Amino acid sequence: PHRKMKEYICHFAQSHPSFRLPELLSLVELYGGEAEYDEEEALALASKDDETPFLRVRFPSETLIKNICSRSMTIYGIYELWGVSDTYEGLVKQMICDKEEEMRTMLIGKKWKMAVEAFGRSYSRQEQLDVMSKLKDLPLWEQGSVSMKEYDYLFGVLEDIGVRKSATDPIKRVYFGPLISYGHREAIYRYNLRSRQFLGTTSMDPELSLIAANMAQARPGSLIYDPFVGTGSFLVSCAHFGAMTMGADLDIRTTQGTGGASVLGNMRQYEFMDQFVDILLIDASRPPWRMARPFLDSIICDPPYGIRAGARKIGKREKPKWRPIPADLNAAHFPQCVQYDVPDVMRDLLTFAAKSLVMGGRLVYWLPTTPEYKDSDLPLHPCLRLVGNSLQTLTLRWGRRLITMVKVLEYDDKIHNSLAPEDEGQLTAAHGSLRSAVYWRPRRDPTSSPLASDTP
Amino acid sequence: RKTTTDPYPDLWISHMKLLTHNLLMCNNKGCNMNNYPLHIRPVQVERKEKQFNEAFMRHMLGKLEWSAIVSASKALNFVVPEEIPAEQDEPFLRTLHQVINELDVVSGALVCSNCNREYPIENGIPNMLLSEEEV
Repeated sequence: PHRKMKEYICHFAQSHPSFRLPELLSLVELYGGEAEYDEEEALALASKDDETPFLRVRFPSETLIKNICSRSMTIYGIYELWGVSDTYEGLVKQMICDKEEEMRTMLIGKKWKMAVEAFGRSYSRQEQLDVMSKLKDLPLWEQGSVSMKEYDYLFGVLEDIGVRKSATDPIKRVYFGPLISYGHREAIYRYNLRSRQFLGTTSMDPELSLIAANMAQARPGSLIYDPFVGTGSFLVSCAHFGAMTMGADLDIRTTQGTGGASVLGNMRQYEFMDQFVDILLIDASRPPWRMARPFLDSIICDPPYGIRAGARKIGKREKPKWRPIPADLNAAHFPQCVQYDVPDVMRDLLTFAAKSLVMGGRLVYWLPTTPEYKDSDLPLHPCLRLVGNSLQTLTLRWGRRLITMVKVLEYDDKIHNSLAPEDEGQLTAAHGSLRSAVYWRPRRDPTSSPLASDTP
Repeated sequence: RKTTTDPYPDLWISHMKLLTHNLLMCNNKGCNMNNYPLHIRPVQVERKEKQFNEAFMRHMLGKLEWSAIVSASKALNFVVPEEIPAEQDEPFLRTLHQVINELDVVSGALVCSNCNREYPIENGIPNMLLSEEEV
């Protein structure tokens, strides 16, 4: 039986267009809900040319919307959609036709206000009043009382003007409706990197770190692991949503930090010590976790790509002057490292995820990409299904994609021990030789768009 | 390498929890049998109170290997039921919480019963790295 779905308008923040829909859908799934939207509108929403921050979505309940908004980093607000039109005259006509009863009855004895939001420009107070005067024919004004500070209802007038337009250009579209909830973007400012006690060269910007935690569905009761923990940005963002967090790294200097600060310092700063399980020294190519029973709800990480942060694993180098370590010095010996190729890093990560995640558990990780990226570059595994692939452009020469995979099949050693190349993906992947791709610039036409090959 | 004069010694002190110990095994070259659980040789252990989260305890219980909980608790002089009781009520979960969350192994080692390989725990951080000879 199809639950009765009402139509709402989602107003997304300007940053990171390709991350909007995946975050929304992850949260819809987390709360056991559903959402319907038009595919073409969703493509415009994700477009990196920043075409629009609006998406019309049908939801079955306001509770679901409030839950989603309580966690969302990409949403500014969600409003019930009362009217949409290309002109104000059209909007007024439509609402008098469809929403007359609501407008006459809903506000009796209530306080309310109207807020004008414009995508593509900002309005002064006077300009907002000028916009509102275009709606003077709505029966709305006869009911209740307008109150700026305390109000029972807030009506949004959401103007979509489009990109690179001037103040005198006509609006593309305008939406109108009562606000259901604002999003959770205030969390971003709480974890501002400037006030972070322990930073490294690879510390993640808090907005993306929190979006990633939403893709991982971090929640109270879940156990989440970062096998390349570095400075612990993901532990902080997952702990923010109540998860229990663990991390590991190859290098003691990143886990313990210098001068007394550490990953622990970060967790302490934000008062997440109750959600910090442990930090370990682990070579990700040789995980020491027992796999007889899956134990992780999510894995979230930013693996080393070998461009700046160097990808290493334990191994013996081809060096003629090597001597065995005396037994009493074994504990203090830091093992020799060899290069850990990015495709191997990814392959080991997906295998580890397939074995250690519970069913429905999620793997979330950054995959480095260049303009030569194609979908067949993606690492694959029969036990994992791809549900997110959002591009963040970093420079003209490279970017990275936040990949989200869900475990849908239990790992079986008899079947999955050795996979065919087409099951593993990463076919002649661009990220196989990142250093040269990033630092070596081929002769190319400077006017062509460097990242034209990306699709959300 | 620990600094000699540390103004915030408390900040360094991480801990290995028995929750983590329950999930670790030996992956030394050729060590395939009897490599779990690792035996704990504690040197410095602390009791630190942590917030009890019943939902997390229930969720975690299904993932734990109970026999390893029993042997690990014994190594730290803590008593737990030999088997998971039929009814997992709040007192039982609180005991479980004390065992897997509040017993902190600050230093010591994890030892493999099969190959005797030792994984040191220093400043509460287990060092599970193999040497380049062992991979």
